[in-house]
Amino acid sequence: MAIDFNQDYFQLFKINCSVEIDTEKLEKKYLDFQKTFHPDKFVNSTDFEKRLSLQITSYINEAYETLKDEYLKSLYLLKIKGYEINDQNSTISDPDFLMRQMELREELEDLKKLKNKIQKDKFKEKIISLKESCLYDFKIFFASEAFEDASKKIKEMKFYISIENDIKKDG
Amino acid sequence: MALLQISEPGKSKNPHDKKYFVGIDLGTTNSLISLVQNGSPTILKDQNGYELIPSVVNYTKDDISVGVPIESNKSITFRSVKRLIGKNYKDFIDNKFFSPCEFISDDSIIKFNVYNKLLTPIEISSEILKFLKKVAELRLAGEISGCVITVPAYFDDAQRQATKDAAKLSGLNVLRLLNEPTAAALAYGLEKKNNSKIMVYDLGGGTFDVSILDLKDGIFKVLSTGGDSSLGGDDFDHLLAEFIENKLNLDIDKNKRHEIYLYAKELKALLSFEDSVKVNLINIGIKSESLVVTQNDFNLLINNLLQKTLKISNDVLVDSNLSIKDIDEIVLVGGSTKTPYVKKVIEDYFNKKPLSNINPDNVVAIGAAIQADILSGNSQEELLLLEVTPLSLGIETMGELVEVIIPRNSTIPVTSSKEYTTFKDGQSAMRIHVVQGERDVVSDCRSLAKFTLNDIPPMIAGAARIKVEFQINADGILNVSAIETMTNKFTSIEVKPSYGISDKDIENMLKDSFDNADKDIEKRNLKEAIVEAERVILAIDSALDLDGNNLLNKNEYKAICIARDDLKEKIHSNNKDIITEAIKNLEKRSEEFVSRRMNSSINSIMKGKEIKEYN
Repeated sequence: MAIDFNQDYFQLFKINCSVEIDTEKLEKKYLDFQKTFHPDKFVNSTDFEKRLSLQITSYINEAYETLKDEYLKSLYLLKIKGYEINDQNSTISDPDFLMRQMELREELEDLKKLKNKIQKDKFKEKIISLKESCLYDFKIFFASEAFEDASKKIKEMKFYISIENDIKKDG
Repeated sequence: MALLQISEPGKSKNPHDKKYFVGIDLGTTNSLISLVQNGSPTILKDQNGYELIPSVVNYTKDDISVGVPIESNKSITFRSVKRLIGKNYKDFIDNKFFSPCEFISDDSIIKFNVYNKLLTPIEISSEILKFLKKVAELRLAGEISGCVITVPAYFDDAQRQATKDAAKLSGLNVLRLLNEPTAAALAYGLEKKNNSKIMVYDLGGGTFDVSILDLKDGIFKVLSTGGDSSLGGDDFDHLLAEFIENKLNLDIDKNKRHEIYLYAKELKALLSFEDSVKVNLINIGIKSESLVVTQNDFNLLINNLLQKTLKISNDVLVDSNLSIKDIDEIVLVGGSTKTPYVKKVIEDYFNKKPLSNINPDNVVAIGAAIQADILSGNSQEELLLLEVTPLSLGIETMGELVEVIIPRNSTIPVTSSKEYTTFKDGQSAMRIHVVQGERDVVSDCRSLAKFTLNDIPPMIAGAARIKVEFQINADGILNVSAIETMTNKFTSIEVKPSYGISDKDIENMLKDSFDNADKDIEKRNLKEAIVEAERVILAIDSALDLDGNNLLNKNEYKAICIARDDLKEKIHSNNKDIITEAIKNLEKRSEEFVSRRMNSSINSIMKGKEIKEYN
């Protein structure tokens, strides 16, 4: 089969492979793809076409979700540059950051017991701003091709995202 | 650009068998069937003139009827069977389901003993679908060639699969399973609005379902969904019945209690437009003159449940990072939203008047008809629904923990793969347990299926690389495939749906349902093969018309034509196997052509404006 599922997501949407992307163009191309290939357009077609449509739209969805999300996009950019972050290497050995992680976790546990919405919102804001600053640093490191440092920032960001999810789950 | 828009219902060779595409709302309490005729959606009425067909199935010793319940000890009557579809024994107990007969439960699907025949909820549901199909065929004097069936947005894989299986048993060809809230928004034509956020509040007889839809550039997107599959108008009735029992200090048996429950249903309807109603239980043989129930009593009774729905609605908003003020429209669905107090509570909470001018009982069926019309290719409207998966899909890992593979709210179709390896030398099989849900521990999620990967080529421990691909299709149904990537060998997968039935079961049930089993099944299979053949020929012809000359050389073009003409000839063979073989051959011959067409579409989208931009 000739459709190339190995090209990278940036090539697929014909947008520049960088930390800042043209989101308007991404949206537009995504919708164009969907309007053409969505399985709804193939309910009366041959099985082979149905299968292809399913494959293509799954691939397009995955590509779109990855590029749309800052964290996933950052992971993907690092992967393209040969710095893949996976379950095995995602922990951070920096003792300062480990300390910080523990403190934040404890703070969250205390807040959960207190059930004070204002304090919790404040904590959430703090986490979000920490996350944003990771992303900011990542972009600078990545642009200057300091991929090791960029990876570290993304691993930190991963931690803040998991804390943020915990806050959300707590309601 | 549409690649193969092939359905041309007006062009059927035989004008007498006109083909119709219908929408079906298979509800917990009531079901409806509808279609778009001359551009406008209509609900089809049964022979007694009713649009709402109670989702009630009666079995007597030698007959099955749908709709009106038979209250007699010579029949077994099932209600709200949708609550059980795709579910297991534990759900059954949790669901307050009133079982009309003995049932058998192992750890998988529940089976009812109906006059010594074991029936699953799938088979019982298929009776409702068969009935709806008959209603439509009678009204339209034609054949139903495809349908869209609606399901609650949060239905999991097992429930969706079970719904499709029920359709298969009833002889319906399902074009698409459509989420109920999306159908409701379609019914109101909200797709014509641009850039708006819609909340669909669906309080039916047995389920509560809330969804946030986002409309942008004519594309529908479900941002998030939530709900409670065991909350609905039936609960209002139970509360009202309990209230009456308590007020009257009754000590009654199960049968009487059920009669009071049925009475409470009527009382609820009366309280929608009367301030107070005098309770009258004479027909049940209970004195009740002293008791008057007011609308206010009723409102107080259901208030807790309504607050619960508001909390769920709010959670769903938070899930999409929205707040109340972001909502542009609220659509009301389900008979229970006819209750004035429900409307008021919603309006007060969201500070917005909800849309309710389409009968909330019909709104989902109307949307389903519109979608069926679009999918069939009849409609001129260009519409695309993009939907999301309501629940996270995960696999069991060490320590009975869940590892999420496809997070909820991912746009479908979606694929995700996971690599496994062996931990013993020469290991040839491994088991994978797939679950659906948001909790961290396996036992808190729903078990979907247990797969066994067989035939792994023998290698030393850790050397095999087995890539397992999980794919959720546009109906929200999971498919799994696996490949050993070192040898590129496909591993076979044994699928054991946890609470479903296998294809073989379906085949057997189909056989059972025919009197002259073999002959009828053969007939049906032959007919299906012919329909399929005609469909494929039409598809190929229109593709050749559009792109044949551009994408094929003369020989390639000819080869496809030969295969097509061969199929045309074989249609008259009256032999299912010969026809199927010819279909396969034609599809095989045109695979390369189809791939080229897809590619040329991809390329034209990718290039799009860039030609101008860069040249």
